[in-house]
Amino acid sequence: MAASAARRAERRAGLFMVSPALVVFSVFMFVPIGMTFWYSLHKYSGFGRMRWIGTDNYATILSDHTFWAAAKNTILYTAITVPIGVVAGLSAALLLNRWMPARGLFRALFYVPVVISGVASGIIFLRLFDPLLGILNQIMTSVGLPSIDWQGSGFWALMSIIIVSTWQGIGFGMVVYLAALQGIPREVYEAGIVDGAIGWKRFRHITWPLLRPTTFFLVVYSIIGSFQVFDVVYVLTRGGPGTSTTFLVQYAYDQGFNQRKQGYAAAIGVILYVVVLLFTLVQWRVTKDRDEA
Amino acid sequence: MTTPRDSSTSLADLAGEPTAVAVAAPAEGEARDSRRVTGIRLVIAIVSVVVLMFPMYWMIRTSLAPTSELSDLPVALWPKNWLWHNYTDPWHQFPFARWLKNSVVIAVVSVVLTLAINLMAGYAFAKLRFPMRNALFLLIISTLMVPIQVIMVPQFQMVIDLHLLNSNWGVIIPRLAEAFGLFMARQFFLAMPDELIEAAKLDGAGHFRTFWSVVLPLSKPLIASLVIFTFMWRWNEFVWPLIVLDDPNAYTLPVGLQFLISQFSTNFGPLLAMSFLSILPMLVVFAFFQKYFVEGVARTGLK
Amino acid sequence: MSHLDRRSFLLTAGLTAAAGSLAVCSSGSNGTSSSTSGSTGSASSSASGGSSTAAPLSGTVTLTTWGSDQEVAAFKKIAADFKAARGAEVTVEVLPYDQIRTVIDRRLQAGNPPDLFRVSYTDVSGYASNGALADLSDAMDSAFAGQFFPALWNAVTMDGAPVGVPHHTDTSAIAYNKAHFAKAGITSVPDTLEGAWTWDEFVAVLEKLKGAVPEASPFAFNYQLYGAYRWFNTLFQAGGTVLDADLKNVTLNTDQAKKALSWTQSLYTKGLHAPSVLVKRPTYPDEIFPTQKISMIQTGDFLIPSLDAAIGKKFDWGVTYLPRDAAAATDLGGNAVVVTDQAKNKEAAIEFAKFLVTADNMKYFCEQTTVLPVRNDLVDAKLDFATRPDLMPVFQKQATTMPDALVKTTTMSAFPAINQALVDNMDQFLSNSSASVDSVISGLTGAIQKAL
Repeated sequence: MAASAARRAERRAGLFMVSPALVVFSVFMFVPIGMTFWYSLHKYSGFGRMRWIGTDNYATILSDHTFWAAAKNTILYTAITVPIGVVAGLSAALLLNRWMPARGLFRALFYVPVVISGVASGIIFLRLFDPLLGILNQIMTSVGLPSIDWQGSGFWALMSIIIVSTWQGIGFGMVVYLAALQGIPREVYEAGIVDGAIGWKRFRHITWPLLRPTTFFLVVYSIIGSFQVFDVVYVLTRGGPGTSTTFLVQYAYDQGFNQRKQGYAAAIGVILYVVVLLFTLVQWRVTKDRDEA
Repeated sequence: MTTPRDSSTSLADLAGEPTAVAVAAPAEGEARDSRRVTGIRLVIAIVSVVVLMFPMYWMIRTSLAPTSELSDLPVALWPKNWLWHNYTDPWHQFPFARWLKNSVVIAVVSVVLTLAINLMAGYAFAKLRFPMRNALFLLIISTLMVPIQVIMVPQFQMVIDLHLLNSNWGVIIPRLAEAFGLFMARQFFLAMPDELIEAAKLDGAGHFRTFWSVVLPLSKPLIASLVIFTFMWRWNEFVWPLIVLDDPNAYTLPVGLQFLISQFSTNFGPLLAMSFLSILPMLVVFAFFQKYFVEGVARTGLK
Repeated sequence: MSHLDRRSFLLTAGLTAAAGSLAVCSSGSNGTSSSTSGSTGSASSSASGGSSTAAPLSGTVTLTTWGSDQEVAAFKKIAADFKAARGAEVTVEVLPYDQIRTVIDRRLQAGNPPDLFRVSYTDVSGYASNGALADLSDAMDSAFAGQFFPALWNAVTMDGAPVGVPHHTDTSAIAYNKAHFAKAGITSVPDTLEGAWTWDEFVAVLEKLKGAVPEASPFAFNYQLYGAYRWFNTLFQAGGTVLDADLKNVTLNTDQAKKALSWTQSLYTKGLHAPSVLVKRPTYPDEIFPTQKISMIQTGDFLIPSLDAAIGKKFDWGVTYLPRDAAAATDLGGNAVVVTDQAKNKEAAIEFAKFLVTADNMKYFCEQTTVLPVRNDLVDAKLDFATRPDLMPVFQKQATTMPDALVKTTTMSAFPAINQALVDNMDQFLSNSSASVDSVISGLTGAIQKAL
């Protein structure tokens, strides 16, 4: 029975090796997710007494304008930043794919914003966007353009967040696309040249279809990222003016830790979780279909 | 996946081959554009870099100048008076050194623990058969996209109950449940040929010996990517430390920075000086290890 | 002259309190307190000390506060005196103003709050109703309570039981850049309460500033975040109110409220108000005023020291009264110091709270930080303000215009939610010229009514 002894040993080894991960995930992920449901059925200020209120928090969410504004903003922000990120990343990759002087340095500099913390990025742009002291408006007014009210206008406040996110994200998209571009064998292009596929035509009919899996990955990854945008908002706009840059994660944080509504924050968390889970399932489905096709 | 790389360390060289993993043709055989096309691309690249780097430049510029020098146009591109005390004063006024130390401790310990957990689990999920393997893996991966805000309320209570508030461990431990690294590790091990492992087994090595002396030595690119990414994420992390750290002495650099925003308000010089100092370690790490950043991205992105 | 001002301020405070508790005849209560103030003034420190044992204390207590350099220094000096007099050490922990509430909340949740903390009158009930504060009934009897302005004493009680001590009060007036005024040719600035600009005159002044000093915004309000309620100054100036006399119903759907809202919005749309200075973001006008990017701000007296330090000799600045429309009105500001229920060294914490508000120490604190005292026996005292004493009479006179109804609203337990309603609703309206008055009224009314 050597075979089954070996299998038992493998089973033991496998379970042993995943056990630290299982413990960590159970205690700090699965249990908290379950407890979030439980908290969401309570009214709880954080200190003071916790009170069971059933599904009242969910009923409140339905009529909570700020929640729906935050949901709308999150979707709007995602719908704007993800395509911009994909196009910008791909453009940068195409720009820096083939040889040019100091190509390595350019690539590195494009990537630098990716490694900078959201808080530091926020502070850097706080200084640039400052309506009264910021250099951007000083430059704009000095060349006769109207100065932009980056923090006072809802539209421009949202734009400022989008600009910072794009700045942070170009390098990541670029690297993902560079890796994919360099994985395209040259023979494919050479075959294309015979068919007269050059320039835009070549990109449209050869490069872009071959990049589809990469694009899919980048889109999924960016959507996850845009659902979690927090640091820059916290530093730059605090969700204002009004609710124009309030996103779901930020609203949940604010309700739980500033407004003394931890039960309500948990209910928002539950909704976020359901959305994220649905999204994950759809993504698995698409990936599976694609891999099988 | 494991194309040999040269060991040169200069910035440009390293950056020049960021995607060695996936390069189909060696660099010297690379097709080049015509001089005109290259020239146009070069101009676009320079303009883009100038735009992208302007915020960084302006951060450094502001950090070296008194506010008055910057509030009226035209602003000189180079400081008239170098105000180094923006870089030194906050160290005395605020526990900046403590924040730096906390950030270093948290990032380093997180890296070590995350590495241990993810390498073992990633290997087991990829190469060993045990009950519920796929179900457990899917369960863990399903948390890949769960934002911290979903679980912050119970997790905060948990940290209180464990008496980990305001401690480095309170920041480190809950964040070990990080599915991305585990996913990355499993993808890497899946691509590793089974023959290697079988050969080790035939030599009589047990699973742990095989893992330790055969698999790990071949996993240096993975380890490097995991180290870099975990370091970056923990170094830059904001929400969770913001929740568990309320004592200024326990702050990490990002939490300390947001504390400084309200302290300095419109006095941007020292604020940006401290911001620059906070990202400097990350920039140095990036300068030295950038190819692993790129490989890590490529590895998860392509598979 | 300033003697009279302080007396008239007490008059308002006394009236307010009387209106709050119907049993008390307003003129009577106010007459007694001022007639006895001379005698209690000298006896006060011994009286308050004598109400409990002066036994030596030990250990350490932590007081968590925010504050300007001057406020922190004053707290530390009083803490050192306490250590010398009573033996217990007081650690003064300083946090940024816009974070202190969140941090204190978290420490309460973790069961590790400071022994004492500084809190605005408007926030006391939020803590007390969650059981976070100690019941100090045993340590503070009615004689002790009687030393303070009744309205503010009420603000630090929960169901009749004291949870802390009233520490000081402050209020808003207008600070202006004299250089900008000279440039705009504005030579006469109101120097009496009665002569305060009307809204129309005020707008005319702003228009002049806008024309003459294009590189600066003419004006900004100080109604950010926890100070959002300072917008009620404008509301009450227009003759409006937040709630009806029973404090049960929202009264914002009135012509007065609509006028106040439209007027505030018009300052933004006409470019007379700094566009980025809104309600939700911590962009405080007092931080921008010293850079000369705003010519005139509504600001609190407690900011005089930090403004003075930031402005230095860069330009001359002065203060004047808030503009008036149907009425003059200003906000009730100020802070209490409360003792937490979980305080580790409760006895020493209570003693320090009482020590902070002895006549001498309150006087010292107010003088150093340019705020107003809240003890009856300090009403007639001559205060030697440490910074720009020339500016304080304006604030003292302006303080007499705190509307009765506003003080009552400000100290009620639903107030944090009322303030939050402003934070959530005003930006949308102010930053968007096409936003309608009716929509902001319905937003505010809904949110406030829910909180009552």
